Amino acid sequence: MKNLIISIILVLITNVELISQKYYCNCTEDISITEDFEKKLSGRIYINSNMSYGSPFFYKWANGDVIMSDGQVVKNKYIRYNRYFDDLVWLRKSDYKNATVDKEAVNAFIIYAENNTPYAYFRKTRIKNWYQSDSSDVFLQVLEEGNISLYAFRTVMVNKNEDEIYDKNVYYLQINNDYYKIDANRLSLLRTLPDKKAQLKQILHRNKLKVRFEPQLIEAIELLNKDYEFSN
Amino acid sequence: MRSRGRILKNIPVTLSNGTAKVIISKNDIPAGILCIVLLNHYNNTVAEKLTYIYPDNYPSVKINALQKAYKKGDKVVLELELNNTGYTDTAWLSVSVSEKTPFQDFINNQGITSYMLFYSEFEPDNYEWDILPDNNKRPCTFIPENRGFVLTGKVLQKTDNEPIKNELTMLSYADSITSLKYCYTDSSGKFYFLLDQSYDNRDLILQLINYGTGTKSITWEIDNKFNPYTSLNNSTLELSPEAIEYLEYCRKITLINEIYNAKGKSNSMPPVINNACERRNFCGKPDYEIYPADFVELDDFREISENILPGVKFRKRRDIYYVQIYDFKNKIIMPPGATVLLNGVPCQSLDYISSLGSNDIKRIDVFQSQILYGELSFYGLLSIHTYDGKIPEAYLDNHAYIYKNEVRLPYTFPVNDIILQTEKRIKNQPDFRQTLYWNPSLIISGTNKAIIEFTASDLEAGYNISVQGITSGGIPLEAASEIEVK
Repeated sequence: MKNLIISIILVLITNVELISQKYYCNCTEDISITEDFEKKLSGRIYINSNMSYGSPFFYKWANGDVIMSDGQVVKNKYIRYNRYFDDLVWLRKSDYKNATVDKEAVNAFIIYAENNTPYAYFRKTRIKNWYQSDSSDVFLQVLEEGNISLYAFRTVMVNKNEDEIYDKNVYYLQINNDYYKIDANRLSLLRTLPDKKAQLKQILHRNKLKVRFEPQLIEAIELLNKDYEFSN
Repeated sequence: MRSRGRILKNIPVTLSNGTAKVIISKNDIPAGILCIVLLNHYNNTVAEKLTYIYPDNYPSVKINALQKAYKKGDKVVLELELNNTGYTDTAWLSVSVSEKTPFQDFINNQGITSYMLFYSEFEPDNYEWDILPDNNKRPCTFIPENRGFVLTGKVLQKTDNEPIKNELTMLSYADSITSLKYCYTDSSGKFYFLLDQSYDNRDLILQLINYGTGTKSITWEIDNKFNPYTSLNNSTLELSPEAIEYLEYCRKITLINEIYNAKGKSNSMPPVINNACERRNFCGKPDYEIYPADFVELDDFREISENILPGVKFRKRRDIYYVQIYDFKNKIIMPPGATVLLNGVPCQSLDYISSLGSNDIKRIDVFQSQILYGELSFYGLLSIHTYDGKIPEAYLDNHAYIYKNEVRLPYTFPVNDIILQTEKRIKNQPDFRQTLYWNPSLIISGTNKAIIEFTASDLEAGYNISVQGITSGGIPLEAASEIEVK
């Protein structure tokens, strides 16, 4: 607000001559220049060394927006999420080179479907994984946000023969800034939300939801959040 | 229509014979600054108009001086308060207390209120605006700077002043964190860089990276946006004997102040470093860092690369140095021509790099894979940081243009002004300040009062107190008073 007022004062005071000449800006020709001002993505060249069957990627190459750590948004880039390395991969359209985007510089990214509607929203979140001694930043897909938020860590696992990779989804519930790992089943959900047990049971029963599948898990959390909003 | 930071109304307008009229009730618009924007069906701005709606109940600011006359070195206390403002209103004020001059009549020193009223609307019931076609439309002189300062300029060949087209232009500055920007010159040789706060008060280094071996044959023309009008005519100002005497008096005071304040005085503003912890190299973390001081002393860079930089080849072939880097992760030998940065600045003179030994280099960051940055590709990066953190002047003369991006940071009046002046008095130093106080950003909220304290100087004179500002509702505020030092 302060900046707006100061800029208005400056326009009034310093551009008296311009205003009095009814000066109108014809800036359409400068649009291509201002597009160049967009923050540039940077990353290390990505060479796919995975020899196993199956794709390590989440979704296909798609248009996406990358929200950088400094808040700037890099729009309309071909991106893909590498579940194997938990990395964001960027395809440079001019020469079809792939690069792994510096994870520290990225805060979140949105992948768009072909009809330009958001397909998935990933956010860098600090969680504790069982295989690491300390918490670390990973990209979690945001499935539902509200009083209780639901996230999915899209990863892959290698089979015993190490010749095939298969999908592995780990779900996290966020309650009051704490993250709880849950399994996609009724028992795990009820155990994680002991104070909302009765409410949750009612929602699951009323809507005939079996939370073994992701869409129903999302729906259950969504209904739980709506109930919370209604009661407050 | 926008006012007080929010959109008030969206009015669809259909032009009839190229014109239209918009009428809106006075009750629908609050007092203050109103911004009317005309958009076309693509949602692009076609025209803009700022107007000022005169308030019914005009708020004001009041200056209460506890005394009208002070002795030299006395503590002066002023009190500022707002009248007719709401509890939630905030006022941003600038306050100055400076010596009266005989030039008051010459300088058209109008206050903020008069400027606002110049664009005010006084219609009794409804406001009317005509939308008319404008034949004076012309392209922007400079592109809008709503996202920050835009450094623009031209690169020309020195011999024939022909523009240098489609050349890679890089902008950087000497720092331990590498910030690199680039653009390609357009058909008229123009380049554009959007600069954020981290570029303030730095010597920015512009280079044409692939243009020959040096830039001696290049003319850099930076656009001067601060003085675009050349049509202003000089006029002669006839000074009265009183004015001439006053100028001489000012000159003497300035000389005395210069003598006593010369020590430790710095004209240059420091770079903005408050976001330093958030800044990172444009290309991320290096694969490894080497501190030559940890090893036995090595005389030149070739020795350093051979002994303590694994995967880095620094060689001379046909009298030309080159750097080649091995990508350990992907097991690829990258083509020769790795980029070398010296203190964060791309360095095209490998002859100079070759002369650097362990005693010169503090740290070497090695990036051992191909790096994509926007549309650029780097076949490995070698970032060398020297102890002095500088770029040699001889290199800059031959390869770069330096733009001093001087930005005046928001001024804060010394809070310990009274302590400073007391210390001066103890040392028997004269205090001939002609401006006793200046604060460009004093904020008063609601019914609170602001207390201002400062010391009177040794100059026996009358002083003007001037307050100018604006409320959060967009109402200008203005007040003036006087004090005397005897």
